[in-house]
Amino acid sequence: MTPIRKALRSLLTVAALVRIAVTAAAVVAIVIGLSAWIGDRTSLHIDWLPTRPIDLLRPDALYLAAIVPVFYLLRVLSLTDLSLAQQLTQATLRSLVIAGIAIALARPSWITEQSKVSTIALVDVSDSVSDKQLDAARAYLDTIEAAIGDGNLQLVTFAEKPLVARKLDGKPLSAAIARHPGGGAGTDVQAAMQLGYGLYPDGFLPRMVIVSDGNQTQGDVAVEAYRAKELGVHVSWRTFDQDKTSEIRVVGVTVPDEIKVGQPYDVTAEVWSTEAQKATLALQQDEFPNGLEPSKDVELREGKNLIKFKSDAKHAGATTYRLTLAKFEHDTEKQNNQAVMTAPVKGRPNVLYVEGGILREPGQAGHLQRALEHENIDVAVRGPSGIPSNPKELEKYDLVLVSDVPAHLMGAGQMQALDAYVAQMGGGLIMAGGEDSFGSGGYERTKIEQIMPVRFDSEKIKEQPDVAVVLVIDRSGSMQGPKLEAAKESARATAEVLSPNDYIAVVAFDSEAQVFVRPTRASNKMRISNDIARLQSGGGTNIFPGLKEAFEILQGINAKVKHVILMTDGEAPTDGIAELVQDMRASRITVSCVGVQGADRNMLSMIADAGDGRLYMVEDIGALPKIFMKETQEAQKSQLVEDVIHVRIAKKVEAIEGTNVENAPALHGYVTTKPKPTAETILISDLGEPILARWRYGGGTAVAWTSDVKNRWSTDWIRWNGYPKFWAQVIRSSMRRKVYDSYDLTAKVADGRAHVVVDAVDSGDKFVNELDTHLEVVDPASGKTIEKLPMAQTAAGRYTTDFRIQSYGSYLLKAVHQRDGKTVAESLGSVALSYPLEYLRTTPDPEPLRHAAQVSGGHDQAKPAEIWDAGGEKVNTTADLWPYVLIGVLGLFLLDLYAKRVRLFGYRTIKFQ
Amino acid sequence: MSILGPIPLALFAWVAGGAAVLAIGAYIIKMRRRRFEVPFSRLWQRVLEQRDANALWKQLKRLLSLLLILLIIGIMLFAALDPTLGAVDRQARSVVILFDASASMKAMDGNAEGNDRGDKSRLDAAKDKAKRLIDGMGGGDVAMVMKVDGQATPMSRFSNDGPMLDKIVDGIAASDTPADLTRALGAAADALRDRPNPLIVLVSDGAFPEQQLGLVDWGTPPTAPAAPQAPTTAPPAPGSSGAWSSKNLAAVDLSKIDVRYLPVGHRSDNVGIIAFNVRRYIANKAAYEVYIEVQNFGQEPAHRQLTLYNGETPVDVRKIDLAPGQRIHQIYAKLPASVDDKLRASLRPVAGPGGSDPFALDDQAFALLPAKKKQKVLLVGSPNLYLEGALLVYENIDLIGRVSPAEYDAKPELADGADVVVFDEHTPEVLPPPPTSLLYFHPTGKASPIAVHGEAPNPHITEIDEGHPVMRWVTLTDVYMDKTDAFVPDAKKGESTLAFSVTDSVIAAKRDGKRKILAIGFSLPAPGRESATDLPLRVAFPMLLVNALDWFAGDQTDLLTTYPTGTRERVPLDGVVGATEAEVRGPDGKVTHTPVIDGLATFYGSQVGYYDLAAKAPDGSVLARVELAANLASPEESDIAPSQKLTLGGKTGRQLAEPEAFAITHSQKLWIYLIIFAAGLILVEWITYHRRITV
Repeated sequence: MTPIRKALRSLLTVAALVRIAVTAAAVVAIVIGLSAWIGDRTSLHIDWLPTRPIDLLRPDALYLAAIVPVFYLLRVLSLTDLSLAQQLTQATLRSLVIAGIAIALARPSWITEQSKVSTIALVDVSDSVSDKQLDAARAYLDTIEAAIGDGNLQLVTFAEKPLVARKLDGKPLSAAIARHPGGGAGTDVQAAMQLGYGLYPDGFLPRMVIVSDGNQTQGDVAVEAYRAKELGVHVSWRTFDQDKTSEIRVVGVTVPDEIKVGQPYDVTAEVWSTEAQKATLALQQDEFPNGLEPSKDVELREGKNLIKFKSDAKHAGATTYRLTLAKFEHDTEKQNNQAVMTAPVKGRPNVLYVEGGILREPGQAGHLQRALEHENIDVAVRGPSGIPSNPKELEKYDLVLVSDVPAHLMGAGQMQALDAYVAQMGGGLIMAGGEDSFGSGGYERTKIEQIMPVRFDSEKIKEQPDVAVVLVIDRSGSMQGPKLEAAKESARATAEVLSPNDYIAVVAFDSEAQVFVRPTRASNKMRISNDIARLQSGGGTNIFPGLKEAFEILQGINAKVKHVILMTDGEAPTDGIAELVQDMRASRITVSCVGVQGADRNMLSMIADAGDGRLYMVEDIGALPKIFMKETQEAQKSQLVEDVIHVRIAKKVEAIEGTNVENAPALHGYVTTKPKPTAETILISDLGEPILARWRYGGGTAVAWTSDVKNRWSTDWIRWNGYPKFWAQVIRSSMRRKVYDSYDLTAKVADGRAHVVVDAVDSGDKFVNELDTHLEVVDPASGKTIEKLPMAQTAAGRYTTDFRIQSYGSYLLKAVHQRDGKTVAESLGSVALSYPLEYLRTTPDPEPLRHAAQVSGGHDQAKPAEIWDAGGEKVNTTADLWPYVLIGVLGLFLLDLYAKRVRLFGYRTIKFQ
Repeated sequence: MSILGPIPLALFAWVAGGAAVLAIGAYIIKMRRRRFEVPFSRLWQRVLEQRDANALWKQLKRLLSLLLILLIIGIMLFAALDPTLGAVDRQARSVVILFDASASMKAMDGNAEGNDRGDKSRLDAAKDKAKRLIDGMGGGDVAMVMKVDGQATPMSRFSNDGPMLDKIVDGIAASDTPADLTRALGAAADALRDRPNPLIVLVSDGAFPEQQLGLVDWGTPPTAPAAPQAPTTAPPAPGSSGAWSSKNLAAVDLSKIDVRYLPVGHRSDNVGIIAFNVRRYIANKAAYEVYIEVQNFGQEPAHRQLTLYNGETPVDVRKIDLAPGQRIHQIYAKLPASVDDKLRASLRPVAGPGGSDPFALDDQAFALLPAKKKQKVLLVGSPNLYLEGALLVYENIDLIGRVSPAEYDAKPELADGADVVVFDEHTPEVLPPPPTSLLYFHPTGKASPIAVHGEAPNPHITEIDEGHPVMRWVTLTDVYMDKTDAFVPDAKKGESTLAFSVTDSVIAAKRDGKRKILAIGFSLPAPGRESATDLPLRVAFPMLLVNALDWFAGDQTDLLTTYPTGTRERVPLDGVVGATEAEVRGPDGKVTHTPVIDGLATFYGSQVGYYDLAAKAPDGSVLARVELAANLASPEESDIAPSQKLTLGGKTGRQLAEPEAFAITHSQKLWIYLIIFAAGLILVEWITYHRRITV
């Protein structure tokens, strides 16, 4: 029988089978018990021990204990003669040894307290830190290392990114402090701290010491300090004095939120200087020197300086400004001497120009139209009936200019539309003077007078005789008969239409002049009529004496308007007439001419032109009285001041700044008005009456220009080279500021991200919701959209997004708002990151560091001893217990050994086989 | 090899020596022979056969036995020294496990696909995967666990201690914020720099915004260090030269780093509130709009009941039906008043198809109604129609009266109970006690709230502080003043200039503890001085007054009080001066602190719900307080559809593969192997002893 057979046979006994079954059951029971206890937990927390709670980190190893019953089974086959009790003792001790090994393998651990310190030195190596400061940081680290004791010291250097610096063999840790090639243009202390958290060895009190100038470009050390506090990390700091340096930095360039083609605006440069000094700033627009002000010599004061440059944009789309510090006295960092900014430019302003005069002379609108177009303003010219009666139709215009349109050609609906346009839609309205404007256009007590900043009535003028008319009538032989009768009738009609206080005189001439009606108040109608009746025809024709007589009469009368109506039917010597008429004009006397059948048109035309009057050539002598009446009415328009007017500045405002209007040529007339109490009177006449006045009317601006814009009163202005600029500026300062087809877009840069917000609010102060909006980020240089992002609606009327700025420069932002797939609005804005923020902050700013130290319990300007001082603190650390368990197992094993070697409980008799 | 020696050396020496002595001693002891009960003849036969041989063998057996025992003891002692293999395994990897703990990881679909019992979150599934990964690490591999939510937090250092790392993974809890993948990848790349075989494993559901996924640079590693630049007077043009100018600022440099992805989650059928906010109209401050946006991110139609609570009272209940992908906006312009002005929107699935929602976090959202305060205003001065007229039009104030300067001086108690006192051409010595706010027109003398250094003739406003709430939408260009007092504000006292005439401070504000003061240096038109200024005739005047009164009331029209979680916001804390930190009470009642710089508190919402920020004086009294609400409000995070494949770096980027098995290398920790070996020897020794092979 082979031994194996023997063994197998011995196993087949009932007793053996029972033993094997019991052992197997015990193994299974232990396994089941353990798995019920461990479950799917990866670690076990045991807190029922009298000492401290213990964690078993690898509880699966406990299954090793399941082999314990096997020892009892194997004991049966023992050949030793030790007593059963001793064998059981041995099996138990051996079981304990194996159970102990299982426990050791299960990684028991508990929490212990330590007071050793682990310090991570975070050393700033960004560009804002000078070499001298870096050397000081190295020396400082050496002192920390020298005082290390049983502590642990590690080093992280940081600029844009943090980097773990390892100790070089045989050198102090400080030798590992070096700048980060190509990565010094930023400082992210927060990232360095976060990297540091992962470096602490177990069982040490975590400490950090930040060696930095405190200038951060990303992240926030003050915020991170709270997390450091939660993690038990005390953050101390140390900063080293910078050399006394002079520094100028261009902080940024700003432009107004909304700029339009041709509209002058200020570009504001913010420059920061450590000291007062002289500097020259150069501004480039789209890579060319800024047209209006290419450079400026400035005296910088210490700290923040705002320097304004005038500029304008020539094209719609975008314009990019680059401000460079061209000359300076003292500066250190050169990377921050330039800033860029791109601004969206809206299209040209759109003006509706309604000119009443084009009915009489189609070319009259041309002067202003050409001037404005030269100044990049789109002008739509319409006749007096061209004002829409629906404000919606006015919406597309930024300003409406109404010139010389009589009130009777403007209906109530149109006035209402203008009112709504200005008050509610924020539009601009300019009323320019002319004989059919303001009061003389019949606008008194109309809606237009309400809108305008001036009153149209003129009380002062009503009180005095204002008009003096002298009729100079040809009584030569050729006038005999119906012509002379018609002339007499006309003279009577003239007296009829004059106001009672006005003066009339009648001078008749042949080769000599004779006064038939001495200057008489028009109320004295009977006497005038009688005097006229005496008029009879006589000799030749010589106009000069008649006009001269009229001149002399008018010089003796105190009247605001002095007018001569000359009527003749023949030819006459022209000697001296031109000079005489000029003298009369100089005395504010105007001369109109009426030529009857065969009159010398050329001569009369010359007189009317020089006399600033009108010429009427009449074939039908029956029409003469009507002509005289009209002519008289024209002259009677007493609100017209027709004279040489020099404008004076009453209030300096931005609208006229730089137009040199104080040196403008004289105007030749205006309409008398009175400023309303709350209006701004900007320009006044010699008489102190308003020429240019404005006010806010509702949401818009209403402007009164009481002179005209064409070749009657502004005839010298039209030729003045400041005329286009003046009008462009007046129009731009008055036109609609806010067009509601776009919304406010603001963009801010923080931590290298641009946060963009569009506030969609309509003209009725209602939020515009449910717009599908996306943001296009456009590179102004190439005009290409480099990024397209959805903008989420986050609140009523608010759409937001943010994106990381991909490279330094400026970007145009365009938010496109769509509804049902159609674009309904576009909002424009811009964002710029000219250069790394590192170069914006070059002077130490320990405040955030101080805050971090205060929050986390660190030290200001920490000394090495302070850094290594545990301050009575203890740190809880997980200590492995398995080595001790192993020692325990060793003890058990030795006991087990003695239990084998020393007979304890007598013998067991072995049967010899 | 190195020895860590966790047991103090002296103790170890004693133990080792003692054990050796005891073990050898055990073998010196002579045991009595065994007793056999045998038939006599056979015994002798046997004895004669084996006697000589036995004597030698017995000696040898004892020696072998002793040596075995000593070997076991030696192994155990050596193991207790914790020997570690020092040689670096070339294949050993440095791993950063980016563990996504963002809000979407709270989705209850962590069970296997097709099993929608919803009793396991994505986070739990991710933990299982991460732990499997850790357990599969080879001996030389080291890993760091980094938690990714709105921030990136290293949870451990690099370690190859699997059980410890498992425990850390188990301890991670998901927050209510979206994940900032870019920051996390950047932090992981920082941590892995200069480490051998760097590997990032992202354990996540892949619910990240496209933009974040694109911001990765797989490119070539940085070249040689840039040569130091010679100083020039003309700086380099941005975008054209300079080491920094051509750099892609946004992208995370992942060159040389292997990035892998372990996806979790499988459901996408979520309906969530993606925007909830209250906003006041800019002009009509009494009116507001409540805006709610709900989106169905699933592939099936969904039906929900949307309830709007004002306080605890439901003020609107409506059923909404959403097609797949549909967004629905709801706007409420008027709501019944409630006690606490706290709004809550809640979504509840309606029975039927699409009636379950694995992601509950975005089914609730919170907002705050703007508080309505009516301020009592007392006017001290001569009758001034401009001022009274402008004050009368503002409905949020209650003009309690006007007293003459003489009346006020005689009885300053007249101002008791007023929230705001306006001093027009009067600068009294005795002021009403704080928190009554003060508005001065032309303060003079020593009692002026802000020191006056002289008078400036014909001033014109050249610069205003647009950032100050009082100057919001106020245009002062071309305003006429005949003269003004020039202030000398002292920033240390909380004084600042709001409007300058060149360098003169014309309008200045002051925050004096709990009281706010606004001082305007010039006079308003009055009888005899009609032309003092034309400001009252401008739109700017009522605007300035309204802004000032709102500022006094701590009422900021355009302040939205609801923010998304996971973003850092700078919240104006009512112009408070001197406080460097604010107390933050979160939705869970936990109190933390946040820094306050220039009157702006940094707010970071990590949980959805209501927050209370308070700046306190050293004596504990509240200087300024603001209530805020935080919501997930992130369509990207609510779109819980997991990505089984993830591509980093945009269209030309790389698709991330799942991590391969780690190379099998021996553990650097030898004690485990030693102990297992010792246990084997102990077992063998037990058998040999009982079978009399050893003694």
